[in-house]
Amino acid sequence: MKQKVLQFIGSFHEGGSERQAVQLCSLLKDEGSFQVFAATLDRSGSLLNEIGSLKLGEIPEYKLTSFYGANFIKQAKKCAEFIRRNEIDVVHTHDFYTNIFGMTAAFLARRPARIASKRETLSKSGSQFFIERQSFHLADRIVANAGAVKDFLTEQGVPHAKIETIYNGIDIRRVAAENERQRDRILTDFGLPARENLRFVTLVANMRSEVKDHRMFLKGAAKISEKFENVRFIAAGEGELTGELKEFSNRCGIGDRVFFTGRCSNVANLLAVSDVCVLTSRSEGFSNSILEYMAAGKPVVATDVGGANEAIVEGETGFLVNSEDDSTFSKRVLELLSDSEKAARFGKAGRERVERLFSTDAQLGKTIELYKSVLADRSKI
Amino acid sequence: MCGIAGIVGHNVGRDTRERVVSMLSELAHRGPDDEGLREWDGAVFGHRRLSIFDLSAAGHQPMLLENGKIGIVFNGAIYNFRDLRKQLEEKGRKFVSETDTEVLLHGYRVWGFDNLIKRLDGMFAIALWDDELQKLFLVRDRLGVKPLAFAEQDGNIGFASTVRALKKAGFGSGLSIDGIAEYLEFGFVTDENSIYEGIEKLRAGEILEFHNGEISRRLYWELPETFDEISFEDAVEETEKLILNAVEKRLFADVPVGALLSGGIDSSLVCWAIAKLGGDVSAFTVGTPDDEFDESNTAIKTAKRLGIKHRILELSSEKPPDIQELIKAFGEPFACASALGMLAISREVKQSATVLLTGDGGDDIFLGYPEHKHFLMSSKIANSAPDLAAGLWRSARGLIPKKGQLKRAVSLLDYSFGGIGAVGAARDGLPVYSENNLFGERLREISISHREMEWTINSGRNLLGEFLNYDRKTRFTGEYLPKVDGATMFYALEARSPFLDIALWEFAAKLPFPVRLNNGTLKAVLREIVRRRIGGDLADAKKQGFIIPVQKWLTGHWRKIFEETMRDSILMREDLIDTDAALRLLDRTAKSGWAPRQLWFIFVLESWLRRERGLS
Repeated sequence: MKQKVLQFIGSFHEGGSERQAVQLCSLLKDEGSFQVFAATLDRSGSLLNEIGSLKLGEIPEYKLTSFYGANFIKQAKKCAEFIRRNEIDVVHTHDFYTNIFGMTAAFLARRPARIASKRETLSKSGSQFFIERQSFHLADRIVANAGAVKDFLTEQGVPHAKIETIYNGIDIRRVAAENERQRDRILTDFGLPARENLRFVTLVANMRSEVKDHRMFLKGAAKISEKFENVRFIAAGEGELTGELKEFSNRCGIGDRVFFTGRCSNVANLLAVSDVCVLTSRSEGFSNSILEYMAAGKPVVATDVGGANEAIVEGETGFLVNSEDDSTFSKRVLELLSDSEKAARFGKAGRERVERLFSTDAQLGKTIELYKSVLADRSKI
Repeated sequence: MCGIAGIVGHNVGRDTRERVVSMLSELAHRGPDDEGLREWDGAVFGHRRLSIFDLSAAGHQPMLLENGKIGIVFNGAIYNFRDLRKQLEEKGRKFVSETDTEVLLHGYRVWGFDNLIKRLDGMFAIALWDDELQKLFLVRDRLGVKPLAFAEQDGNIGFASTVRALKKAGFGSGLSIDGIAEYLEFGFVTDENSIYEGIEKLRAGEILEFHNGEISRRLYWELPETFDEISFEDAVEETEKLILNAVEKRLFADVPVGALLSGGIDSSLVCWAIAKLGGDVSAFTVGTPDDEFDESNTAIKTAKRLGIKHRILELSSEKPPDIQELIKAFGEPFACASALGMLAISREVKQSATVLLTGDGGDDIFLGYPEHKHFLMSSKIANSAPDLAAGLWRSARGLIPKKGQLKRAVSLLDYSFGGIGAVGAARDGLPVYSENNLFGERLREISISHREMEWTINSGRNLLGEFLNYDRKTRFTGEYLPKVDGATMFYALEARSPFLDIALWEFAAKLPFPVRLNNGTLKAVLREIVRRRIGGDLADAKKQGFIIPVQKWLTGHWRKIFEETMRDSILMREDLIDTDAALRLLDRTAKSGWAPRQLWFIFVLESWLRRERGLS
């Protein structure tokens, strides 16, 4: 009989953690060694269809109002009951909220091995970090999605041996563009101007979190526009910051050069028409966006945070700049815009690097290895 | 209405605050109600306030947004600020005052600078500092009603409402020879120059951006240059609507509003519109009882017909005003004699009003000056002549004696075949100084671009169009607008002219010349409205306007002081003017009772320089 793994996913809204978790469900299901279950704290979002198509059975939802009330205990007991009833062997959580809730529920259920995840190097507030640390105490292992995240956790006092680095895997098919000859059609579909000599600099990031530092992107864009006439900027992602950021782009004097496309259902096409792809976050774990950019064969300019320097090879696949340094950022983007041969060379090297190091096969293999090792340790006890 | 000043740049240091304070003290007369100063790491802004909208402390400037990350100082009035505020409130912006200034801040935050400015209807000089972007924006309104000067120095930029304030803070260097030459030609310095080297002025309709020590400048508006097809009748009807609209916008204020009523077309129309709109406004007329051109009686009649409150302010044309008032009021030497009249009016009106509606600008866009007719006629001649005629005329013109009617005919043909180049050369001006040996060593070789414009028949074929464009960049922005701003602001009075309304200007600019000069009548459209709404007698009256006889006073009341001033003059010491020659010229002309106006220009320049240097 197959062993059973429960993937605990915060919600199904488009985001790095959520996408990686749903992708892992899919990979595990196809691989077939484990029977895959899923649970969530919020059963809504655009990825729901995708996970639904995997036919994993019921996806229970455990709505939380806070970590401190009676409802938390009630929901955790309900979840523990689900774990026991389905005889789950491994519970794998993927972000801050599911770490805390999932590890607690799995602890209450006694039975399964417990794997938490850490995907960013951002220090949470004191009380939040304290509570997340408690969840790490309950976990058998913690998956860090970059060496930088592992280092961060170690610095914060999490035992080194408990941390396993597994890089995000990128599904090359997801960024396989349609025929490039259809550039005009793609541009029109996105509501972008289809002038032949226009170049596009693209940021794919949610518009919910200030940590993405979209303002640095826009400030840099203003500087680039001063030097390079035929450039336009694409900010792809949804969230409540969109209105404010549109206003900020007006304030930077580039309101007519920046296109906010909202949630992008076809990242592949968007990247295909982009010339340089960027990420300006103040903090990241291991960015899916950077991997997608590289997989799409695009040169990348990103802030040197989290695992960016593990993905990007400086001067070979892209450039790293300090966070909030919009001046260097703009110079690096300009360098790639004005040297298309270099941009193409970087893009090609980036794609090769992704295929070699950040494939879904590598991610799946390491994850299964981790599950087996944890289960083996458990059986020894 | 206010005075603004500031310094921005990487080299903003300990003394910057004091420098801005010194500029503010120089601008104190423009804003007696409040003073404000704000410092950031790379910028210091200062403001003198004349309260017009929301008299409370909520209107204090520099005004800030986002915890001080954005700051603004502003001089002027935004007539559509309530509409803009509504739009911004719909976008979630929250306001704490009833001022137009706060609308500018939120408007910038939402629309960005250029898109904000394009939405503004009003007169303005604005400085905005975005501390997050480390950017300074400066801007002047489309027509250049409100002044704004700036200067670069050691990686910094300074700005102020007047050239004088900047100089006081240590910006600029010595006198500009180009600026002096232009002043001596016209009696004022245009926006293309300034009286000091290193100090410049923003042009009308221009935005300046300063970032990382670099300046970039761009025009955000230009007057339309194409004509609409429209009948005279339709033009009259639409103009009337636009005038009413322009007056209505300008009646809003939280202080008493007055209106100037001369006996002329434009101010009468403004008063008619006020009466029609039911505005609670007093009209003021300057009476010069001992002057043959006194317009009081016409104004009294008009006021009665319109049923508006009316006061006559009597000035004597015999008793010369104090020239020091003129010198103090203007930030650059300014020898427009009618500014003396405007100062006197402002002094009187200020006692009962803080906002004054005037009729300025009507002549310039609806074509009210006699030369407008002459230039249209010249262009007709040029359009009916072959290209060859220009060359022939240039060979022949020297043979014709330039006296009496012939002189007029020669000028007309010069304009036809030489265009704007001939107009520039026809003015008296620098040649008068040369002919009378008035120039000192440093000015003997000077030339100015205005006298060196090319003579072409093509320019003659569109002479009126070219002239209007040229005149707007010289006399209109260099003399007419500064005259009103300088004189009214000297007495903390806000002048608003409905004829400077931008919708009205854009509409009028597109009226074909034959419509604006219908049947060969100057300002035909406005006259027709007056005929229909006030009376035929006023509509048919000739342009008068009181004359300030400064050239007469130079040979009489002012002669002694002129002579004393010239005997120990800065202009002489600095080799700019040979004042002995000036004294000889006055001697020669005094008998006629009328001195050449160039002597008046010299007198004003010397007096202005003495005040600048702290001499009596």
